[in-house]
Amino acid sequence: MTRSYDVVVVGGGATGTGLVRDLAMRGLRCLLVEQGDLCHGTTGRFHGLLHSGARYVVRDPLSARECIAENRVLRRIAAACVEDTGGLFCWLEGDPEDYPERFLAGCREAGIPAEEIALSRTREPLLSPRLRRAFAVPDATIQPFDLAAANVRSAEAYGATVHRYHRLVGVATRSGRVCGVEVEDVRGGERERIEAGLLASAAGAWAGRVAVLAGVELPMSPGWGIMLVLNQRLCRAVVNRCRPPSDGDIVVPVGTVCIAGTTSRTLDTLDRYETSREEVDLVLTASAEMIPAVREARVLRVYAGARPLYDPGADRAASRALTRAHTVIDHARDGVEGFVSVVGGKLTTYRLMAEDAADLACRKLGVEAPCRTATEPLPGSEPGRHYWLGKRLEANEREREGADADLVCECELIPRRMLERFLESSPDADLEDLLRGLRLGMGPCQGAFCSLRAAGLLQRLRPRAGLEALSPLVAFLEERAKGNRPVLRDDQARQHRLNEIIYREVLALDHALAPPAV
Amino acid sequence: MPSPRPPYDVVVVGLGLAGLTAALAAASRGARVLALGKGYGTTHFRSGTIDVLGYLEGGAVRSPRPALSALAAARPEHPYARLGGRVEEALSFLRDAARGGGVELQGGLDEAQLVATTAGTLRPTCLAPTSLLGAWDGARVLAVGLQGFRDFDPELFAATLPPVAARLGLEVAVRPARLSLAPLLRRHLDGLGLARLLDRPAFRHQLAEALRPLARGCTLVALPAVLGLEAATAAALATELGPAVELPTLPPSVPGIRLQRALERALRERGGRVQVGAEVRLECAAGRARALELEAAGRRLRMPLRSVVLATGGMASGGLRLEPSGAVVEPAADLPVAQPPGPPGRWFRERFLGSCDQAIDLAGVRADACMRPLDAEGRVVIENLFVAGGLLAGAERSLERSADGIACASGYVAGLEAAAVEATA
Repeated sequence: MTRSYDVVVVGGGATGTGLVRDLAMRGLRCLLVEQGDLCHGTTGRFHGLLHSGARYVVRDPLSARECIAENRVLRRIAAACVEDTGGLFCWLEGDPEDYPERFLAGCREAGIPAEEIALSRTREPLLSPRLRRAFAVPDATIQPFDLAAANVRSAEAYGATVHRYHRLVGVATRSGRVCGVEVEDVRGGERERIEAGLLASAAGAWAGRVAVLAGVELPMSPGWGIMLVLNQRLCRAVVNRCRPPSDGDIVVPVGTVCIAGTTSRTLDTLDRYETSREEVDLVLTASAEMIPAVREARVLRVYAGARPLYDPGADRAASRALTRAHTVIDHARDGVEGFVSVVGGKLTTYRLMAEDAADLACRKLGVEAPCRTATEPLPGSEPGRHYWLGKRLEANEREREGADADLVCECELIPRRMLERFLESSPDADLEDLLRGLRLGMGPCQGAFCSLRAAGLLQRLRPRAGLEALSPLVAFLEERAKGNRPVLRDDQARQHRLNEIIYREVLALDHALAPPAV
Repeated sequence: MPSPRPPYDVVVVGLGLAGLTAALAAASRGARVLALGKGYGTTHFRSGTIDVLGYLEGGAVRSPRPALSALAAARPEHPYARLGGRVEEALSFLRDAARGGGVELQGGLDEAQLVATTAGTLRPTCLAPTSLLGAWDGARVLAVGLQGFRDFDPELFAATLPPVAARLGLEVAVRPARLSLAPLLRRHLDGLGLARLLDRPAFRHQLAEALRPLARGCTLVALPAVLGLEAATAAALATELGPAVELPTLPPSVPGIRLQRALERALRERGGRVQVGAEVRLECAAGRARALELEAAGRRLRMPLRSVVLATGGMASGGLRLEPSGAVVEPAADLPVAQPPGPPGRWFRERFLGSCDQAIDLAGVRADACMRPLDAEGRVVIENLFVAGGLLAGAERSLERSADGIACASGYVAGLEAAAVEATA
């Protein structure tokens, strides 16, 4: 029997999961399909900043106003995913003279509380001695995977269905109207036709590809940015440069590490981005201007995310100059009914994007229920307590597991029981899902110790036959090494060699899957 | 002002396999030897085996001797090409020294041996301690996980070993089991803690008693490689239990520590001194290593040198460092380093477990047949300094599985050469 839904949502990032939650809360029967794991795309590859909007006040005031409004909403509804780090804008000796006043005026205009604070009160001992002025703003950080997972849990509680590792491969239309979709199970290969009253694309940078399936052209202009993971948390607050946005002007404290970003390159590719050493050096040099200790830190890895910029004008010159505000498109304008896309935007405004897209979808389906996502907290965020760095340690102690008892991953303090619970609650999870969900292997050793342990645990709970038992381990090691390669130097090169000794020379995994040629 | 007289004939920097072999070799010629290092070498990460040449051109090496000759002939820059015929002599020297320290290493260059790992893989090696060798063909194996020990899951091993063995023409059946004993139910049970526990006869007995009913019908009991820091422990367990085999796993490596301790004991018995925790820099002038500057226990010391062996290791040990600028440097003596070929963006192989070459592996210090460091033109740069082990350029250790063989042979040659250096006025 053919399954049938009111709305099929494409894209398992923040926007798509937020959209499916919003629609489900309004009483619609929804299906979400995501080609990878949740946050497989841009949501899982951003720097972790919950914008106050201050970064946009001078150049993009509309985005700034949206950001501060959503910042306040998310602190409430997604409290557990947010760490209230605060943010600082740092004006260094030699930075443009007139920028601080324009910045402050812009903040006032946008309604963003920005306060100049005495340099002795920054609580940031590692800031550059060239710091001359500092401005505090309500920036925060947000855990994207927890956010998407909470949206999915809520959507499922409201009756929605979520399929990860399912790719949209076809869109069926009848007399110019979307009537169904075809999806493919990426892992099993089976295809299924599904009836749909409406197709809503929240595929972000991939939105152009979804549109093509429906016979519509949607010119996306992916703006790539790289981010470096440093092995220490070098700042308490999000540290921004108080000057017009440029490469390497932000350092975000996330968990036990911090993220230095970012760059901006417009490229047509969506699937693979080759980071160059020059790009890495650019970010290191610029962020070391704000925090000189960046030079002393180990660069654990580099990753790149594609900003889902919508470019109606086709100006591909400077992706940072495009507005970061979002657009909701009713493709009836392109001659296809029952198809909407939400493009542009940023993680901070994901909920608003979802609300606007859901409003349009409801109008088209004749549904009158109002949006409630701005007030109803996500599961786990009901008590309104924010995430804090010691949260895991506290939980481990409370459960009498001890800070260091039976830890599978020492860097991220993950005890065996936490892994077991995660695997029990997500039956199709593999090691990379553990990485995204629990930060397994994301600390300084980059999986040197936890990979084998987690693979053993996985095999115990989800036995695979024969050599297949090693494939999650091999895939995990390759994934970890991929982000390492462009930044291997000094101690991280040393760590890499240690990992080679363990997994090649001691455990001989390089010869495990392919039979050796004799 | 004349320099004070050097207190040692040979100073060896580095306490890994290369350094200890060099120190032992020098001591065997009657030299007064000091071996010192910042810490222990990668013996504590590896598995206590001596891998001489495991793979050549993608294939597993069944017989190391001809494979070594083929490698040396094909790759004149390879350390084995310089060390040539001395590999066998060095291995036999090492085997005797380890035996003196209580560790029996089996095997030789005629035939590779197979060692099974906790991941269920089988890898070739040249010399292995008895406790790591099992009769795999036709074996019915009981694989035992120990409660609280994170680094071995017998289910993974049981799934992978049979198909891995079948590819090599061996028939192996594995039954996984987990054992929980009261002394295991405590915090901080890592490999070292377990090894110390197993060194106690009472616990060993308790373990053997618990395993005996489980092992009924099995020909081999496989346990993670934690069977005692004492070399006699594994054999004592086997006496109580029947055939048992240790499976190498994550660091710290108990068999690696056993080997390192055996060699250190042998060195002390031959009059050598060992000092751990010393960060060292060499002072060289006019083609000679003059003195050693070391910082230990909060004070700086300057020690005049007669001859010195530098065995500070490769990238993992810090003997070589890849600077942010993209240059590979040797920090202890600033020796000339042969840089990896090709652009820096291509120095590391694309896939971590891939089988292609990796340029970074080739970086290091080039040496002549006496293990004296060479500059880019092939001239000896320092007369009384000898290099050994991971520092040496030209080997693809991550592909070849040659790290131990190179360490042993180069350490042996460097130690003998260093002992032969005449005192200068």
